[in-house]
Amino acid sequence: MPSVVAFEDVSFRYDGMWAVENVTFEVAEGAFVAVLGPNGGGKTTLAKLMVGLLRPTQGRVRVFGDDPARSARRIGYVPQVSTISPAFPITAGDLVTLGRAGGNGPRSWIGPRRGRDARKAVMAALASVEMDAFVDRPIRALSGGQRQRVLIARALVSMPDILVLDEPTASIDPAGKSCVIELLDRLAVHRTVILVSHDLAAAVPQATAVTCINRQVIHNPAPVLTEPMLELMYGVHRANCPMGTFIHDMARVLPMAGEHAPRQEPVNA
Amino acid sequence: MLEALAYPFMQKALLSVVLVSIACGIVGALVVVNRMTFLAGGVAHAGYGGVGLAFFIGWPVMTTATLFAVGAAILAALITLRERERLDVAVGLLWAGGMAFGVLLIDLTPGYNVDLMSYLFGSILAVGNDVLRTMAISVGALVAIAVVFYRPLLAVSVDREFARVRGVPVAAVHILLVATVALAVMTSVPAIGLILVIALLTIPAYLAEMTARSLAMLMVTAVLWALVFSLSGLALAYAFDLTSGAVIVATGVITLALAEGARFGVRRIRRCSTA
Repeated sequence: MPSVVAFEDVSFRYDGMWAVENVTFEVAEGAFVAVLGPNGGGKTTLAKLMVGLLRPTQGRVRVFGDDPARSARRIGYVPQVSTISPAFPITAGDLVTLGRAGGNGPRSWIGPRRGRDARKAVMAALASVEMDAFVDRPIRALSGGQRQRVLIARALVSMPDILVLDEPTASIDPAGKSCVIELLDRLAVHRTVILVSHDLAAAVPQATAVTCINRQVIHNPAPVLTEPMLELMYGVHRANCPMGTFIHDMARVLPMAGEHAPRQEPVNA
Repeated sequence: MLEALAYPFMQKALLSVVLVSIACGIVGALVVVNRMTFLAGGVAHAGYGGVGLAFFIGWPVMTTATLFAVGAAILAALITLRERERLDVAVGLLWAGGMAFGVLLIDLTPGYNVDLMSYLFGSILAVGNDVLRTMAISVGALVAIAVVFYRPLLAVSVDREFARVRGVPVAAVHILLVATVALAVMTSVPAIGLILVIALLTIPAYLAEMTARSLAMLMVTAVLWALVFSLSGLALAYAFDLTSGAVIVATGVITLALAEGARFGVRRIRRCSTA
């Protein structure tokens, strides 16, 4: 499989502190990558480097062999739901239409085309997340889970080849979380998915590869956690782990290296 | 009351509040959804520096003050683009620095006694033809900006990060946004002044936000609310011989308090009926 995302010795510094350091890994086309790590470990920084929101302090990031900003039209980005004010006066349909914004030259200033084709694309994107019935509903009248689905539809409306999701199950109730997890399972069939989450139950059931980050990165192109990954993320060994239950839960949804247990069926938390 | 409309100064006052309502309604909608009220306040006070500069160098006051305020706003936009967390410092500098600069320049202007209060609180009944013409041109420019750049302004207002990922020129749109705030503020100065304009930028848009389903609808509804406050405030000011700018703002504040009270009451009743 050719790689669609490549980090080549990438480091990024915020205010003199290294958020990610000497990161090198590749994401294969069609993979479903779970990016795991503790809070403050650099997960969101990694996602932002991937979509071109941040530029590496050193090293380079390639998306489809090019600068992420130049591959913007092939990337669907779902930021954390909290980036949008729920009080903003906009309907679900109009919010999804903004997923067609941007482009090169004057198009970036004029905005997305409106018309029958645009409406069709918006309805198709909303239908793919089962939100087409809410097209004219203001976002303030939607639940957290429904709003998250609309944000995913906004990322899908431009038919991206890669979908990068940053904590899509954060700040939504368990029922909404379960719907989003099921949805991701379906979306991963047609594209590369990179899911950043601190929530193991949300991130790993569908994963075909795992990236663990805590300033540095260990990438495994198989859906298997290794002892070095645990040590990197939480500084613990499984054998003498003070968080035994936690590690047990982690291993239940994602096998540890050296274990021959078959991969678990997706868990819908 | 209607007989007052026979006076030319009243006709001009009426026309000026209509223009101010259009400017503040449209730009207020952008200010409220972008949570930029504090920045708008800074820009408004920076405009005072432009007033001082105009008197000092002897240029036309409104044009000079408008250019100065737009320049200061663009500078603030550039600073806050790179260091958004330092927005408070940038606005504080604009706010106090602009005022101080204006006062100093007027002090240094030889033999000139300026009625500074008219720039701070407006003098609606003294609006002349030249000022009206400048206001009309500014409002025309603001409407054109809102129509032509509606989509990028919406994209940046909803979600800056996503807009940047999609290739929308976020920095340029941010600068345009802050410059339109400066233009709207300076358009409103002759009628309601630098200080009271903040209320007309925020109260109508905040009330409109309660019901609007789109940014365009928010702009239109905010213009209508601003017209209600301006016209009723002007009428009350004429009837009771009060300062018109202050009455316009007081009308808005009282309406907002009543609307919030009604909203609170409805919520309480709903909660009690579901309990």
